[in-house]
Amino acid sequence: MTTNNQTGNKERLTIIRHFNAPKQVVFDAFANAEAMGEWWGPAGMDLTVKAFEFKPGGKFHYKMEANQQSMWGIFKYVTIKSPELIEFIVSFSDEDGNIRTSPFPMDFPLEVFNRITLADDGNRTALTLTGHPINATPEQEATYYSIMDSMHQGFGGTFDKLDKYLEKL
Amino acid sequence: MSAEARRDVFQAISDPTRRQIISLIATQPMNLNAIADRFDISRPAISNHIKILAECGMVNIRQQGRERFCEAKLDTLSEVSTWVDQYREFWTQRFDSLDRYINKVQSKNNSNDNK
Repeated sequence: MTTNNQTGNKERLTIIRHFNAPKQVVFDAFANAEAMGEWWGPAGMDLTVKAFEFKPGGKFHYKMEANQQSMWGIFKYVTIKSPELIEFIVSFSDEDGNIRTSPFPMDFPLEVFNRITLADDGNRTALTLTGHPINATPEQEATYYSIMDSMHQGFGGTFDKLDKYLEKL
Repeated sequence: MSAEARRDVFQAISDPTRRQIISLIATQPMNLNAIADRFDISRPAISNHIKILAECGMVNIRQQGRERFCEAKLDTLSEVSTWVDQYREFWTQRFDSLDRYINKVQSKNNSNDNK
């Protein structure tokens, strides 16, 4: 299992992971409500699937709960090609599926477009995730890209040093 | 709140030169001229970036005699660090979870095949 964060990409966010299964098995993990319900929720949070229509124009609407706090999210599927491509728009939402601002303390884009591609790699499957903001204001795009750049361009290294320094204080 | 008045840490780090300035002074304070010497762009341009960093709460400027010393505000920096780490962690954790799920499905499939 490997994780690579690549730089120099227009999309800025690129994550590559390998899974020990054929493409179809990986694809199917995204393609039905039961499977998504099992793995999509972060550890320690309960995931409730309110709607699941895995088709272009369809929605995955879910609630995550932990410590009496709940957060709603939504995927809007754009393109689906079994077993190799899933394009979807991710946003935070309310209980009724209306798009809401993120719970983050900053001007984060309301909607992020994600593309997942699956490719054979020997006995394994390579999953590539790319993402970029859509329908965003220039300020929201700047926020998003500054975060992605910070992830990819060595800011992390600086912060690692900083964290060690802070521990010594 | 107008767009120009908006000053936060994420605006501060949206510019590559400002990120380099922060990296430079993250471990030790430096005076303005010493910082400007490290860059190919003009001193007034560097001075302007540092002004924005100060307005975003990421840098303190201290007058010491004739020198102006710039130091990173570590608490603000660590806030950004935490957030960026969380964002990175988010997809990593989702895919770790997917990996566990797929291994479970695969081992089920394999044991069925062996029957």
